[in-house]
Amino acid sequence: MTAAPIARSQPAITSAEDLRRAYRWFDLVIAVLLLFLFMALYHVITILTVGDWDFWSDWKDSRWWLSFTPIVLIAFPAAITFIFWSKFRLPFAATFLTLSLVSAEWINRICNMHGWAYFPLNFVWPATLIPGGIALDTVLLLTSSYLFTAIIGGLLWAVLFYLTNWPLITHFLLPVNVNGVLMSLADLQGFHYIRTGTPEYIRIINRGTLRTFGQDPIYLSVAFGAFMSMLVYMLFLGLGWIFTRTQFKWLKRL
Amino acid sequence: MATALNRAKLGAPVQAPPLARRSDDYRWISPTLMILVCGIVGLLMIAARLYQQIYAWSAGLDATSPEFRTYWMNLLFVQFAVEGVAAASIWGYIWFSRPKDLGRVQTREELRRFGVFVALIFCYVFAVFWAGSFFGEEDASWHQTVVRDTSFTPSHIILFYWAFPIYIILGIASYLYGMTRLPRFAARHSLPWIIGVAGPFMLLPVVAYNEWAHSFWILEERFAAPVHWWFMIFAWSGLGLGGLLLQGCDYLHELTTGEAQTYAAENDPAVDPALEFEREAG
Amino acid sequence: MAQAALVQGEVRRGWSGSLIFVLARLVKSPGPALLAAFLVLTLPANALAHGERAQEPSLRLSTIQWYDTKWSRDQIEVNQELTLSGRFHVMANWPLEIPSPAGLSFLNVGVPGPVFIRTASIVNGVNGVSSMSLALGQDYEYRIVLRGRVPGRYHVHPMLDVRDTGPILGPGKWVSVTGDAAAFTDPVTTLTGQHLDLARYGLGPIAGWHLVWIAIALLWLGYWLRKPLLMPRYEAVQAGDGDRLITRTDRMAAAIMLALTLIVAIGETVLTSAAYPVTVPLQSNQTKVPALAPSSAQITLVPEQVTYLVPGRTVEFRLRVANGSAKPIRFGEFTTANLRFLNRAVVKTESDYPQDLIAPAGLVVRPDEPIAAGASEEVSIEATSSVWETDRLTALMSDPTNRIGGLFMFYAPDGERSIVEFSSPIVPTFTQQMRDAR
Repeated sequence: MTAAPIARSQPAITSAEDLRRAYRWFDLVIAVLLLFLFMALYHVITILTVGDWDFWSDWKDSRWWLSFTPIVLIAFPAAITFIFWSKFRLPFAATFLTLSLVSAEWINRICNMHGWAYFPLNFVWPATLIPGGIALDTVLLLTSSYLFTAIIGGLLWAVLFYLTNWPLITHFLLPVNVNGVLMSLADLQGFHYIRTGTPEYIRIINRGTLRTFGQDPIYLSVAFGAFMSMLVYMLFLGLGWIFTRTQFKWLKRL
Repeated sequence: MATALNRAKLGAPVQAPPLARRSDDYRWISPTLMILVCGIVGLLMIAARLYQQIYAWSAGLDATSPEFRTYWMNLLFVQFAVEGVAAASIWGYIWFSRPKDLGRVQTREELRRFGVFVALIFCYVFAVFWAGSFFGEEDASWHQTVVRDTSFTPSHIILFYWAFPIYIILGIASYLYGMTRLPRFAARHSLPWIIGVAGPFMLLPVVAYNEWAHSFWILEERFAAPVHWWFMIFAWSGLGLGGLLLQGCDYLHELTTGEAQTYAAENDPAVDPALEFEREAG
Repeated sequence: MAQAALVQGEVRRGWSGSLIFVLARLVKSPGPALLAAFLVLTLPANALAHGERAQEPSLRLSTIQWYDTKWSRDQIEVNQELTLSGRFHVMANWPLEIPSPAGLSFLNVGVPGPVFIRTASIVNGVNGVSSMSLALGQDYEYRIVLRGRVPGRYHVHPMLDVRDTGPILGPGKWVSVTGDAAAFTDPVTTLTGQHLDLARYGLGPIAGWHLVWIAIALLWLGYWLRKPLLMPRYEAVQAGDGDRLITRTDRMAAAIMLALTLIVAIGETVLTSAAYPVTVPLQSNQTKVPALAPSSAQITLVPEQVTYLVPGRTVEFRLRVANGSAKPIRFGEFTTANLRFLNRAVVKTESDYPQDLIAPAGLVVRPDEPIAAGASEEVSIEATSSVWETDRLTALMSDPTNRIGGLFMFYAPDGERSIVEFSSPIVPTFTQQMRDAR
């Protein structure tokens, strides 16, 4: 038998219009599938890395939350971006992912944190990564370069995380005197709304160090987050590349 | 090496009937199948969530209490029974009703089957959403709120022993379907697809490791702990569906245009897994 | 009580929980209704524990001993206060295999979620918002003020979270909260003079900004989804023609999106900073807490033999008591892991204390005579209760460590109480003969 490819004698679709509609149907089904897939995978990754900072307002600090969240969460968009840009020239992966994540988080906060466990929604609101996602996608399209996207997009990813989420937590950083102790409103929420399984010491937040480089760690955290995001983006583009190579891997049946 | 499924020679090419001109004919991925299966999955998940709403706080706080045994341990055993029956029947049906025509299936029929395959993957992903996203984060709202009791908490019984098995059943069902109905997936195993099914399956053994860890040394209910990172690694394996998407695009191109998508390997001429199958069948 | 437990499951819900519950009722078939009836009929009177039975018995007996626990009320309305107070003793003989409160601990409340809010807590005069370092062998007095938030019936425990060890629950009592959950408010006044309701404050701007970003994201995704998405682009890239897929319009759209994102983001920051010029960072509250003054009475207990008679569910102590105080003393109470054994000749039961935590058989002391000041006596004590078994406190056969700890309370004739920590290995006995043979 010849090793040359055997073309199908008759394709399944013979008219151009039918082909267009069939491809469009494929687009729509895959788009909805990707929504659920991204909600599932990106949400699991988020919960198990930066979940605690995202669940509670009294975890949203200036040292860990601002730096750790963008560094860890740029990885998945990098990998998915590689697949969709290299194979489809589609610059929407990061936006799609971050939108899916925020949607999944709100569904959960409303139905479960609030609907099941009775936490007020103003205590368990999620952060938003959408602005950074839009930046990654648009910079990629404008530059058509992974390197520039890693550098400029990675920088914007971390900076936009700060610019669009710090204003949200600011509402809860107003000072309050609680029986002689200074607390922020976020700390007070954590004190008021009892979490039997989450004592105060479990929080991984900025608890102060001897060295401050000028007191406020916010900008240091953002800068660190930006540089690490660039590196992580480049690294995980590689993982995306590995998964595109699996397209060619078919294993013999045993 | 001949495959076990089909030893028939390839027949002569047969003229495929022209595509009918019905307006909904382009929906080669069956919407009925997706709606039906996702509807059932959705109902099962919502039922589980409602059950938690009613019985978690009133009967689920103490694993040593009689009401816990009544409402939660009995539920767990019912779940195992239902899952066992469902897995055996669904997988058994797919396997034993497999067709014998893989060497001579019409392109149109192959496209229809490919559509069913994509629909099953859609349903699998829908179930993974419920498990990983909805009930996954719900676990935090239980464990960061109450004292951890045993491994069988109201959140775990639904998350690990209901939602996870459901997507595992659907994932393996769709894998079996591809393996038994589509020549391309019958001839060879798709590596990204194996990763996409086996990876999320591996989350279940990681649960066992996690409960062991929580019993002995991870006594705080933080999610940010290295013991949880194994879950994350297997979540990454969902990227296998990216590789599968690319393989699927190749396959769709071949089915709809008649041109085989082939890729030159290093020392071999152009390789196409369906070709491999046909060669073996010959 | 069973009906009340069912009420607990039914009544407490927020608006989304209400929706879910209404849906549950609409789709209810006779099956669940029968199950619910079964629940009413068969729910035992005491659903007491909340996870602590799953903990190692030897650890619950030897870590924190709670005493003098008081609940100010057992029925409150939404927004009404309940005070939980008492004392706890950190065992000097803390199990070496688990981290102690000398690291970090936090005074917490064992309730099923934020059905109450905690408005104040104090430990030996130190504000309980702090995580604390406590000393072994010391006593601490606490007071926690709760406010009802979600109607229902709940078991309310004080508890101590110890870092890397987990929660140690105190005694629990059923408290009912009645009223309307929607009427709950959490008024707070900030140092900048703002009066707000912490239960609802801030949600509007947060939801609003989230919706703004979701809308912007949908714009970008919609721009791409309206075009052919997958196959035509895939085929073009395969053919090496991928770059022509990105048009000038696409680049303009991207530039506009990026500019819009930056403008909105910067605007959000500027507006919020202007609205809130005074903020503080999250406060890290960790502190040391001074212990209560130690008891001056010099009473020592030396265990000679402590056994657990399995069939009789009796712990028998044989110990030598040395009364180094200036007054005669009598055994009044033994308490461990929230279980209390009272010598009824000396101590009267409080009627509002959870009766299921007080052993009906009490504390049997032989000889039950005052021990004179300066004297040393050998005493045999029996503490009998089914709770040793039902609470898994004596699951000795499956426990890698067999020891018992607790507090003995002695009373002088004038009512002065002395509390002495007790710790000893414990050996199970399976028959009366074996016990008598020793």
